[in-house]
Amino acid sequence: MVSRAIEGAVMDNDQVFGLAQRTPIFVINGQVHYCFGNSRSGPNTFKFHSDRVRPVKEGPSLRVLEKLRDIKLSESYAIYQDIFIKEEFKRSGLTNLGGDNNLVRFVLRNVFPYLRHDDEGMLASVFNTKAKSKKVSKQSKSGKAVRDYDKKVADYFEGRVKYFENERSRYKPIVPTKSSRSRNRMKEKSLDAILLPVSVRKGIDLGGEPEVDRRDSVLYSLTNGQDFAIIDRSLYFLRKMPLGGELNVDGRGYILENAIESRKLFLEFSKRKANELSLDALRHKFAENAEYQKLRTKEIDIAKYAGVNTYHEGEFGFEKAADNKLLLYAKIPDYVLKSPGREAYYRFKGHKIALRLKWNSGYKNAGLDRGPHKLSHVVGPFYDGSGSSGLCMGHYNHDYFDRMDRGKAIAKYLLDARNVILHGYQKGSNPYRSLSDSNFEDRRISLREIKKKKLPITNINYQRGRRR
Amino acid sequence: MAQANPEVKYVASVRTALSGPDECLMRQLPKAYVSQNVKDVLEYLTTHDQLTDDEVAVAGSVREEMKSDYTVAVNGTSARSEDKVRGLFTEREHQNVPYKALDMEIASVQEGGLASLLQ
Repeated sequence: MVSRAIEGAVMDNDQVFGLAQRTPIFVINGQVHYCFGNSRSGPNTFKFHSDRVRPVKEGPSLRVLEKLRDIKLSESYAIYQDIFIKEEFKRSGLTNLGGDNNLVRFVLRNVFPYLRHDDEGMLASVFNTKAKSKKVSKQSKSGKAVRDYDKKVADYFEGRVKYFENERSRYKPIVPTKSSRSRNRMKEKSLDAILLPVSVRKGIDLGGEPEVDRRDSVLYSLTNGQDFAIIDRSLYFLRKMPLGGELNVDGRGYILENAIESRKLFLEFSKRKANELSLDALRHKFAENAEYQKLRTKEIDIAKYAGVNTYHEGEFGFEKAADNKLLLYAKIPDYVLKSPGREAYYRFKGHKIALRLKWNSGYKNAGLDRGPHKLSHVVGPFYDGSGSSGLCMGHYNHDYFDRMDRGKAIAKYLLDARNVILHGYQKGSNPYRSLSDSNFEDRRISLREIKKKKLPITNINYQRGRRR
Repeated sequence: MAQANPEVKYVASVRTALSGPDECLMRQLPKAYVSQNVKDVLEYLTTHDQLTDDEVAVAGSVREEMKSDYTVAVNGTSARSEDKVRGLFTEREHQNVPYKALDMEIASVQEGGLASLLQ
């Protein structure tokens, strides 16, 4: 689709083809000539079949016309190359380094920013402004994962460059069929030998050494470097004549031979131009391409953690679980709870409280596989003693999952779970197991011990919200 | 502009009806043959002692066609082998050099059927 769009743009905007639609044109030694006007005021003329003799005027060089086209289409070319690189990148498979990494990517990019002590991000979220993205210096990203990833990308694109170069090496000129050329050439050669003196025969040039460099012209590559004319939707090759011909330009004569439908030339020309743009994009443009940079940044994060089963940062982290699921956890330190209304304190062991996430490939989003649960054998008032690891959060309202950004919602759920454990035991709460010696005798600790060990009493000085 | 040339050349060629693009014999006709007939010109073209290796095969094909009954088309018009060639030339130009052309095409005819149409 993209290729056809650029092919169409090239065809519509090419100056040579555009001119050829209005008047016969002749390309000789890289110079364009065309029929113009009616009066035979100059020496250059063209007479075709039984048509009248028409004057021929010199135009700009082919190179200038091709450059004009490229300037006019530079924006279209850039858009095409951007889209082409993006599609190439997706095609490479380097944008998805494994199914389970969708979750890792999601957690790193969408959840962790809300869990980190990153005031800038949180403030931006509160004030509805954009957080400034941190600039990552090259040094900090120069790890092995980065190098490995960049090498994979470079290897892929090198392979694609070779593919397009190979395609280009197989280009064939648009020439007449072999049989008709052979027949004409045989007969022409025989007549040359019979009728023409040797000196004249030697002067006949059938498109030998070009007088101008035609290598960078897509049009000349199609005609195998031969001069040509486009008249009434047909392409003709120009053959020099020693004594004048249908076309006379600058004292030399030419006959027109071997007509080909010019549409064939247009289509092949456009296709080759698209290929040249693709090759240029692969060779020079992908490194600076914005889309590539964006994808690279994302993928580098994933590449760093692709082989990692656990990751911890500050008070949060993740562990990979079976079936491509992920345990996102918050760390709970050792903590003390005070029984409300009594001078009784109970110490509980630090642990991890986790949410188990799964990837919804249909929605391309993370989802909850299991609610808050402990990852080790610990006790607490909000865990039942039967062996279930789930955390009781009472009549916790999950409705915000429907309206909140998924990453933010998951972060909130985890933070709320942690708050329940540390701060949720208040007068009037309804835990699985109340803070009492009958439930937690072995957890009892004195205030003196608490102070000595500098343990936090996490459920005092906690302001309750207004209940509506 | 045609090259002024007081002596116009006579050029004869022959191919078979089923020949490929490269199977053609072409020669300048010596003056003596301009007043001969079609068959004589055919003999000249196919037995010329300056045939190249490629032309030998073509000449052989033409002679093969001529072994049985055959038709001859000269410049697109049917002719008989005893017709004088002088009146059969057509004027042409090659690279602005005028010449008189005698393009002949030979096709053998199966026995029976069409044979009665031959002279």
